[in-house]
Amino acid sequence: MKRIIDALASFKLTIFVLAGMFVLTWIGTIVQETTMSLYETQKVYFDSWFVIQPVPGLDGINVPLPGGVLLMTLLSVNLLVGGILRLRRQLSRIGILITHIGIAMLMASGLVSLMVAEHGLLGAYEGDEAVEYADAHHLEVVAFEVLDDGYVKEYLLPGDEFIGLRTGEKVTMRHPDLPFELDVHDFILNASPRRKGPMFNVSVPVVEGYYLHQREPAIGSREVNLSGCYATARVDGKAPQTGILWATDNKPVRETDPWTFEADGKQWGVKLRKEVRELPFKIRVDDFDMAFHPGTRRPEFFQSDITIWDGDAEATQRIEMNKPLRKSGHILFQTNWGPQNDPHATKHYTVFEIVTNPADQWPAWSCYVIAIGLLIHFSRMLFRYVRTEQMVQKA
Amino acid sequence: MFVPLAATCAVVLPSCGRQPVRVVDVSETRVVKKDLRLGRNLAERFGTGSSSSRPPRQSDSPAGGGGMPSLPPLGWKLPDGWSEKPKTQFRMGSFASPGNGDCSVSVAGGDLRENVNRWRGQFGQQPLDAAGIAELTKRPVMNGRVNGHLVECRGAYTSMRGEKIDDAALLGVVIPVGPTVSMFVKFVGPSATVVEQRENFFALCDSLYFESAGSNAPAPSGGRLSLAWSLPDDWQEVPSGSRYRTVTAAPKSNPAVQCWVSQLSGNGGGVRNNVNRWLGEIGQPYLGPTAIAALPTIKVLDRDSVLIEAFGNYKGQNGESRDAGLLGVVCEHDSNMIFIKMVGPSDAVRAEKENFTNFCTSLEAR
Repeated sequence: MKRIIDALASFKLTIFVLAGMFVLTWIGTIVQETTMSLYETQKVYFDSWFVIQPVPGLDGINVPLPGGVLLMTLLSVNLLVGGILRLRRQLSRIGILITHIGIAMLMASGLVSLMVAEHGLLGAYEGDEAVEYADAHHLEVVAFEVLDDGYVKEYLLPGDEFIGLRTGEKVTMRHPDLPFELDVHDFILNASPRRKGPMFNVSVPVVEGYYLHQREPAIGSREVNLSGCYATARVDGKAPQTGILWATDNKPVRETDPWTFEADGKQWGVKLRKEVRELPFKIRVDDFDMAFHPGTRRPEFFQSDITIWDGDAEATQRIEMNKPLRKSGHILFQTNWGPQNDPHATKHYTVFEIVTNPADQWPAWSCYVIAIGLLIHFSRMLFRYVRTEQMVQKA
Repeated sequence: MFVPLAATCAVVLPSCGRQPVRVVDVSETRVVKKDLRLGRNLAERFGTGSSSSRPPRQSDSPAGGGGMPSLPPLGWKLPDGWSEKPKTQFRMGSFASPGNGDCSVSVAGGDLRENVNRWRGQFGQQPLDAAGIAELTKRPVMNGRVNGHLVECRGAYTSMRGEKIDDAALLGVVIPVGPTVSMFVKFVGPSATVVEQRENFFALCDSLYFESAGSNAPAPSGGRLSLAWSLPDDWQEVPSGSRYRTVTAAPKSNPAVQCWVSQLSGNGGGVRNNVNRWLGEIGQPYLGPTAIAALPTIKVLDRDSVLIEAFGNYKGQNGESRDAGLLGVVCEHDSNMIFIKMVGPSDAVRAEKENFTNFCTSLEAR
């Protein structure tokens, strides 16, 4: 047991972890510049326990490397065991102890952010009200059942179930209230529907004369990929009906209509979209203001005035760059605007990035703790130095 | 010990246990107030018109992707013996064929099923269901640029104005021209007339085009690469009879030789099909994948592009045959296929080979 604790607390482990982080950062930077988006790089190299890294120039040869999560976990354990548990309990070490606790809090905030933080986007014109927003990355297939009075019941299939499906694989979605089973298949990360011409064949189904063409996935910004897939509804006693789904919603600019089919005597809709999340409050964009640097299309500033309804409470707030709204576990950052390709647009919309992260403020608190720890430690060192100098002078 | 073991698992485990079919019992549902638009066809949902294959862009305006487009004037080549009639509010083109045939070109909204069944109703026929619509024959029209749905009816016909023909026939082609609209080419007349004029009707459909500024025969739209080139000293640009050509050139000293560049979006049928089509034109045998892969290549637009040389009897699309040579390059450039082709008397083509390759390698994307 002692040997294990010694190993976990050792400087050798610290150096191994730091070296691993250096290698991972180096590879991740190169990959992000060449073949992967920032999001994918984060997922593959830093939000993982292990990385299977192909060796350049050696086809088929892969090297397993520790992933970011493993390295950070080891560093946390190393820090806890070496810097806190095994630290000599002396008053003179209190500053170091507090500093290590602060670093441990920082690591914990990173872990919590990794595990539970979600990012989404909400776009709205002035006057628009919103109670939901779209996740920045995650997809879902949704089946719509039309109810009375303009209400719709949504049956949701999370993207984790179908993203990465290979040729010949499919996921069947079913629910006791659905009079059909829905097969989701032929998922393509970046796709566009194209007319099927007579001079070429395609390996995916052709629907209404169109097929899903596989486009090169966007590098650098995964969220601009327009994913697509096929859905086949199987209704008892009827021939299967297949539709093309294409996730192109971009509120407030565009909301794609669902693919429609008939089952049990009524129409149903199916759609592929970014996961929709609900806000715990309602907002309305009252005013959106922006200005460019003179002679450029670079925004000097952009800001939104919004009204927030939370139950019976009503409040107004300005959201601007670096001054987000924090409310009910949601942080709304002023992150974008549009349309950016139309210099003559008379009406602009604002885009908020919405982050849900319970550890949002932890890094700040960690920094305060670290600062206090360092202040105590260096103050003590300074006093000791001054006292020593005085003793030397007296001697 | 732990790290190598975990690493091995990480390598091995993902390859195990994948099933081709997985059943997921979804539990997550929610009820929301939503303005849901059901029943739209694919072109309406995605804003993919006949010539538009680009996806919506993040920056598209809210006005994009829907509504009745403002269509440019329509052009056509009238079949022999046909005559034009005055256009009306609803007819972009109106024609009469020998034998009292009436042909109209119009644009309207509504989905395919609705319009096809309207035509069938004029013949007293039962409406088609979705499966019946899906089985409609598709036929390339507008010089092969788009596929139209072919509709045929025969029987007693009653026009919208109440005119009746006892033994009538209808040939119709529905051509999608925008996200929510289609162009309808409808030919109605006595059945004997329609049978007799069938090929002329298809020739008319094939000749249709939208006029654009500066050209009465616009190039096919959609993602074509803008190219620049430099002609060899002895070459000059010559007028082209085809709107598919980016440029046509001919050597001053060998005007019987012509070289041109054309483009198709997508894979244009692929390298092999196009190479074999060219070889077929020159009476040469079909090449298999291995032989295609072994063909020499030259750099065109920074891509290794297949170069073919063929000599034999050239058979043009009009059926003429003569001793000829063909030099061709097929360049796969992102989402476009670029073809550079030179044909002429075999000796002259041989003499121009160096100029041809220089011309090919001079191409640049603008």
